[in-house]
Amino acid sequence: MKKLYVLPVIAVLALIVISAATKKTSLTSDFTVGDPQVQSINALTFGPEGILFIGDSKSAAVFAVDTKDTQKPASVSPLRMRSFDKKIAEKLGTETSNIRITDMAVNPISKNVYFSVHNSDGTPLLFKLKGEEITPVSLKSVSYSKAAVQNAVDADKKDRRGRSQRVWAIADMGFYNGKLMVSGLSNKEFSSTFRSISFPFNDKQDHASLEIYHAAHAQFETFAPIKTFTVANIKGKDQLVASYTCTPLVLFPMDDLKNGKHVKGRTIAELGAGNSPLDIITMEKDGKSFFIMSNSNRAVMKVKYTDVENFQGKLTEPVLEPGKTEGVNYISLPMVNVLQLDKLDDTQFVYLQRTANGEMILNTANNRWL
Amino acid sequence: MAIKKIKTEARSFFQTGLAFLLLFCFISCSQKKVTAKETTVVWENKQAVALQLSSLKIETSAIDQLKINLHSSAAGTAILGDYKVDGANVTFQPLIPLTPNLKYDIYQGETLIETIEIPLPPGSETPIVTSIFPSKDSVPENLLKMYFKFSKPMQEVRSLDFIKVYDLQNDSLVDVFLDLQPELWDKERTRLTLWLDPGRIKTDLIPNLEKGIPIVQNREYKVVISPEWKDYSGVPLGKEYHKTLKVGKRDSNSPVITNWNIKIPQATTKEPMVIRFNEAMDAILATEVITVYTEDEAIVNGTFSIENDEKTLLFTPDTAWKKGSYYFVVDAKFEDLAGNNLNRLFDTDLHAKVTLNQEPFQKRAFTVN
Repeated sequence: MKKLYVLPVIAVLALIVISAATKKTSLTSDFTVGDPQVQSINALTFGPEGILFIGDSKSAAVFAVDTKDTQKPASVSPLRMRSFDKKIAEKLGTETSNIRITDMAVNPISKNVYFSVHNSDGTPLLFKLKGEEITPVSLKSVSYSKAAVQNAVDADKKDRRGRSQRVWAIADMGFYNGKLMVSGLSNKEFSSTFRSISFPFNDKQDHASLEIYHAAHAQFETFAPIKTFTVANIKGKDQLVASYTCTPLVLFPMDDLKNGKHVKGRTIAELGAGNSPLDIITMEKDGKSFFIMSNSNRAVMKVKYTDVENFQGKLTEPVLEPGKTEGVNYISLPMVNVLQLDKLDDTQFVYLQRTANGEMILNTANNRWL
Repeated sequence: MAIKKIKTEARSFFQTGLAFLLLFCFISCSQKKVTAKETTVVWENKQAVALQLSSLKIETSAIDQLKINLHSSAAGTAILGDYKVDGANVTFQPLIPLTPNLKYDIYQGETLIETIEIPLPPGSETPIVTSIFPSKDSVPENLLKMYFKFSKPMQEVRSLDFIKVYDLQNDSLVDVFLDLQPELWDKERTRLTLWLDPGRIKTDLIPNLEKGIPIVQNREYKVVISPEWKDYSGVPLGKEYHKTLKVGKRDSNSPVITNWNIKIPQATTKEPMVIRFNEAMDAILATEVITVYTEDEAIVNGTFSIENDEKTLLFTPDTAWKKGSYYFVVDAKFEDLAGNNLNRLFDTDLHAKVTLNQEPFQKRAFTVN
């Protein structure tokens, strides 16, 4: 009698062990193992469960890669490394002038920093920091899934000839509320694409057209490209905080970004001159949240979401004073030439910076800056 | 210098390894040294993808004693890559190809075995700049973008280090192009798109107020492409390329397809249909945005080409024209040099209360006799 119970128990235990060994969550159930053939890495962002999204402009695709890097650290130590690009270049056997760090993302679970590098011959590379050790992440045999992002705009417009093989250079990506959001630039028209892709990937991609008002400019325009973005809860509503190549900062309610819908954004600031926003992240301190934005030609800016909430207007009249930014208040942090930025935890962010003497450093900013 | 391919198949690895094991055991069971003759660079697609380390005597079990680093690396940082035993050779395959004109040190343990300098790829041709668009020198003040085409894929990460613009009025270097990452290359990496800073072109935007427009009417500029710019395999352009921009007045008009002059071909011929735009248009879009249809909505296959400084488009059909009605459809995204497309100006004053056309395509009919 006892044996009758033991056998099923052993079988169940064996099944549990087997299923644990080959564990696939609902998010990774459609993943396959192999080489995703990534041709370029333009943007990185993490989703849940250590899933890393890779934006690949050359393949016109986004990849979800299961890093299996889900071990929570006992504590989060600040990272500080000098000559960061030189260390990578030496590991690759080349010079710093031949490489560019294209993006950096912190795994929100393990707190490990990942970054992508392009060699000048076009080879994309993915690295991970283990302490201060720069280690390559091989993509030759990984668990992944893929979604194409090419030509959705043309397909919508039924270009029957299908000739216009537009290359969308993926500018930024973010994961929010079960969706991967991708902003892109065209290498031909001065236009923009912004889409949200359901994850796990399926055929559903929302492509909303976004309209912004250029303060100082007395016009709406739908065609300026979004360079970087984040999502924040403002007055109880999820809002896309989008920064454009010509530096206006615009809010779009996430609920409105639906397929085929034309959405007018609320421009809340124009942040000035000869500048391209690079990265934007949302941080919190003492129950207050704000975003930090790095720029190509300006210092890192800090904007409190309470100021965004209190800024009720939208910039619909021309900004007439030269040399001024307009709209919501911001604070310039004493950090210039910050090239990459990501959140380490709620009180710390890591950044890559080119210092005045030309050295590239990886550094961690703590609560003091917030 | 040998041109060889790396053999990494597991089967050949095991077969060769087994053969060597038997051979060595036959000669002397205590002898485990591999001896070869010289170090060679392995080229693939004009890139130094591996080194065959041959002038070494190394125990097969002691591969991890090998280290290769940049000669210039003060820390002696080992280069990432794989070591493989392939017959009598040890092959090192780095993560990225080795860089021409750089020296690499090969160590066995603490001993420097050899320093090797990677030459330029054998038989490589010098890349050239094949075209720069717009072709003509005279451009509107609100010129939005330029295209640079090369004969080979180029190194891509720092294009603006190699393309400079000089204001010839005071011979000063000026900041004209938007430094954008990712850079806008086509898939083949032979064509680069650069935008003149759009925030500065747009009237009264803060970038425009602070720094003014990128290029100014009645001035001349020289765009200079550095001879130092290398192609993907490390071969430099070798000579400087120039392009003059003579800046004229602002273009504040959208292209209007009914204003285009069309030369209609004769039936039973394969003469091209010629569309004259009355202005220079975007060189890349021009051959992509127009589709010709028969009256029955069948696509007329053929080839498009541009001439006359992108002011004229030629469509040559694959088969002879037939008598009858045709039409062509133009994607409204088609832009002139200032980024004005068929539906809207790049810089629209909404106070002017212009009604914007929203149609994604525009159509024009013609009859072949």
